[in-house]
Parts: sequence; C-alpha cells; structure tokens
Amino acid sequence: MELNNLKYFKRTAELNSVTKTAKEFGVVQSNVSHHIKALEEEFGTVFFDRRKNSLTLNKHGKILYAYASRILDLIEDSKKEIYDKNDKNNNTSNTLTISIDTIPIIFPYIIRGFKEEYPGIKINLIQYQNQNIYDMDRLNCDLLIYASDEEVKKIPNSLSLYEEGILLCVSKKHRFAKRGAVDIGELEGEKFIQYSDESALRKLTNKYLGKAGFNLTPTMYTDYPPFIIELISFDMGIAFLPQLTWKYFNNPNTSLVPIRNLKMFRHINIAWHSNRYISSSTLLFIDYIKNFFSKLRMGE
Amino acid sequence: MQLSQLEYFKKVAELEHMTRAAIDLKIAQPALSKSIKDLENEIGYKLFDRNKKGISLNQNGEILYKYAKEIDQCIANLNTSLKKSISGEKAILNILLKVTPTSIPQLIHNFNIQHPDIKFRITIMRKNTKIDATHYDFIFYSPMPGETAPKNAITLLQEELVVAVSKDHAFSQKQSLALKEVENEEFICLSQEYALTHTVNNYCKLVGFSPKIILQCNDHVTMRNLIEAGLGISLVPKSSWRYHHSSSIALIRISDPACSHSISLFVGNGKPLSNAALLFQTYTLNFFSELKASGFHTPAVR
Repeated sequence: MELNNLKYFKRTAELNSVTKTAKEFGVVQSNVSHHIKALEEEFGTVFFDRRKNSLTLNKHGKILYAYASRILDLIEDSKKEIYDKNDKNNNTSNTLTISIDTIPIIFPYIIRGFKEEYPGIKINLIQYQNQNIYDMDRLNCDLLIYASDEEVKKIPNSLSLYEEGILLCVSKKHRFAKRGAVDIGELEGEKFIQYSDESALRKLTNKYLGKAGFNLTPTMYTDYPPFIIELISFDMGIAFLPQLTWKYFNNPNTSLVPIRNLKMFRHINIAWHSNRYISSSTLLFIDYIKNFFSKLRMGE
Repeated sequence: MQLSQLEYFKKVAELEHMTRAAIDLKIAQPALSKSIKDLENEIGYKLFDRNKKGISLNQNGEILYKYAKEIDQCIANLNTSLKKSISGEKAILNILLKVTPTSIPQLIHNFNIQHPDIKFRITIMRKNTKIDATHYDFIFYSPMPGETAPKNAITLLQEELVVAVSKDHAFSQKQSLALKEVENEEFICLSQEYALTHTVNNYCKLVGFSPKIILQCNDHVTMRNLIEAGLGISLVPKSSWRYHHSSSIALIRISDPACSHSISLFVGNGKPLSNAALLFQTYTLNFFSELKASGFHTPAVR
C-alpha cells in the first residue's frame, strides 16, 4: 500500500469517477485505475460498485475510505505540526482554509484585518454548497463559519461568535416605518423580497416562519444584500434582514422594525476539527475573530 | 512521502541506531540512510541529531514519531476491519441447482471438510422456483443437445447415456442397442423438473419417436426401484448412476446415436468472484476432473 494509492482512491471515491479524478490530478485515466487496482489486489477485494459511468463505494470501500482519509490527514498534520514548532515568530506561511456556509456582511473586514496582522498566512476561502456542514471532520478545511438559529452543540468544537436579531427592513415611506414594532399577522399580503432556495438565511427564516405558521408572499428573489436594501429603499418590497447587515449599509431611506410576536435570531459560529492537529495559524484566526466580534458587541 | 519511509523512520526512532535498524528491517544501511534523508528533505527539517556517539531523535522527530505510531495503528486497524468485512461477506455461497447430478452432495461434503467456515445456501430449481440469476454465485445446469454455452460457463462433465433395464428384461443380455430399438418400451422418467428428462426426450425425438412414459417420479432412488421391479426402462447417465446402481439392473450402451448428458457450471454473474467463490470454483473443477480420471468407479457395462 502506498500513500499515492490512497490519495487517488480517496479522490475517486469522492468524485465517483476515474475520469474526473484523472483530470483533477492531471494524469491519464489508466494511472488512476492502476492505483485503485493495486489496492484491490492487495486486499483481494473490490471497493467500488461499477455502474455505467459512475463508481460508488461498496461496504469494503467505505471502510478503506475512512482509514485512507485518516492516514492522509495524519500525514498532512505531521508536517503542519513540525512546521509550526519551528516557526517561532508566527511568520508562518501556512495556508489556512476556511469554508463558509454563511458570510456575515463584515467578513471581508475580518479577513483584511487578519491579513494585516499576519501577512504570512495565506487564506483560502471555500464556499460549500449542499454539504453536510455538521460533519466537520469530513470537510477539507481548517475552519468553518456557519450560522444557526440557536447555540448549536452539534459540532463538537464550535463557538458562537455573535448573536444578532433578524428584523423586518422596510422603506422609510412604508406604513410600518414609524411603528415601534409590528405583529406577524400584519405582514399578510406584504410583498417580500425573498432569498434564494440555497441561502442559509432563507433556511433559517423559513424555520421560524414555519413554526409561526406564516407564509410570505414573495415578489422577487435575490441573495445580494446591497441590491435588497436598494430595492427596499425604493419601497419595492420588504425583507427580513440581519441587524449587522442593515447597520453596515446604513441606508437612510430604510428602517428596521422588530416583529412583536416573532423573535428571530441567528448565531454566527466558528468550528474546527475535533480529531486533528490544530495549526497555530488556525488558533490565531480563532482568537482574532473572537476579539473582532467581542469588540463589535461593545459597539466599536 | 511513502509509507515505507515512515516505517523505516519509526524503526530508527525506536532503536536510535542506523545499523541495528537496517538489520531489523532487512535492508542495506545506505538505503536506510537515504530514505531518512529524503524524508527530512521533504519535511524540511532534521528529524535526528547526529553526533559522534550516534543519532538521537530530536523535537521534530518526536512529533513525526507520534504520527508514525498512529498511522501504524490505523493501517493495522484497516487490515483487521477489512479482513473481517471481507470474510464476513464471503462466508455464504449461493448455489442454484438446475440439475441434480448425484455427485454434488459428495462435492459439497468434501469441500466442507476442507473449508468448514464457508456455508452453502443451495436452491434446487423446481417448476415454480422464481429465480433471480444474479443472486447466485454458481448455477449447475445441463445444456440441451445443440445448445451453445454462454460465457462464464464451464463444462464439468459429459456423461454417456445408457439404457437401464431390469436384469429380467429381454435387453439385459445385449451388448449395445440403437436408441430406435426402445421405441416401444415403457419409460420410467424423473419428473419434468429434471434436466435429464428433457435430454432423454430430445434424443428420442431426434430418432423419431416420443417415449411412452408410464411413470414419473421425483427422485433417483424411486426410479431405480421401479426399474428393478421391471416396470419400465430408462436412460441414465452411465457414470453418476453408480450411486444408485443395483445388481438387479443392467446398463446397456447405446450405439446409435451417441447420447450424452452434460453438467455445466455457470459462474457468478459477471461480478468479480469472492475468495470463497474462487476456492469453490477451483475445488469443483478439480473434483470433476478427478472423478473423470478415476473412471467414476463406474459399474461395469455389458
């Protein structure tokens, strides 16, 4: 068994295709097949069910996959840990991979600030789509930023950074604008600017609205906050907006109105691996983002 | 990085002695030194302190050693888990018998003595058996005369068919006879579910008659007893008949046409064979070729 066998096997299992794996590694297909065959011969079994053009792991393959991933992680971690130990000044040129399920509007500022402080650390951002984010140890990243409607304990190493309300954003001209608060019932028939199906914010508000038994009437769909706020300022609809997002755009033609009988919150959380080496640059980033949000809470 | 490099590194780290490690690992010392140097180059840091007294693991080496141990453990666990998973799955062989040559119980019995862990699930095909051919590791069947063999099929045995009559029957003194000669005889056959019955029917049709079947029974023993009692005659495979042979029955060779009954093994369903299936396949082929070589201990045919 060679590490390369495991590397090619693992990626083929993830992509369900020898062709795609070969393309990704820039090798010919027979090369990838050879690596898989070597493993199959060594263990005297096959690891994939071959159907048409797709390969799926069989029972044995799943076992091998779990160990192959662990072994490859350990190799990577060993290098990281040795590197960290020798990098006393944190001039680290480690790469930090952060995957983002939710992007708080101020996120670019956090990245900018962190880069100013630690210019040596390269940051690699990945936006995961439709991945099971609660399976943190399977995600190929150092850190995960995600939102939740409550303080989740589903991910073992996870920290809630910030809690913000999700309120109703309306135009200054709207009849709700001058009101201290509105009732959920009053929203019946209002035209909503709705987030797209994939949006984490949409999923979160849906959960709240579902519980309250409220169906909103969408007038258009978009995920781009500046655009949403512009549309609201022209009174073309209303939308649910996180407090920070609204504050950030600071559009004088809009107001943020609380809903009296539906309190919606979201937590912005950060998570890291539970069973892997946590690099010093990862720890530095966790510290940095914690500080950032605690300053934010204190109104800085 | 190679897993072998890590294994070498681990040994050197434990012994802190190149020469002894090389002996333990059964490789040449220069090869070992090179492997360690390559590893240090790849990681970018020295793993050992080298001085006049020898070598000792440094802080970096300690870190790598910790990982090397865990990786070692991972590989050991992987081997155990996979072995367990593979052997667990392969413990049962599914076999479909579309034909029931009398040698099969013997085959399974012998195989089981050598491989007691491998279990069998044997389905005997009856008229109403619904079969999903992909479910079986092996199918024993009998190809009809003239039928072309499918891929993955192996002929195990081709047996001559002979006429079985009671010792009291007029034919019993004959050396051989043409199939046509039994046209007016009354036949005792196995039921329609048996491939042999179809084969016999086909041969009779080939020479221009359909056998007058007066009795059909469900097993070879009953059939033998009926023939013995002189109630009718039958065509039986010469070699495997020995299991049922009785001294009150005479077997007479058919001179025209040459009649035979084959038993073939259809292997798998295109899926790669499990270890148990491979063992059984090899065993079966050997079993039948030995059976042939030993002349089946065939009862004498007059």
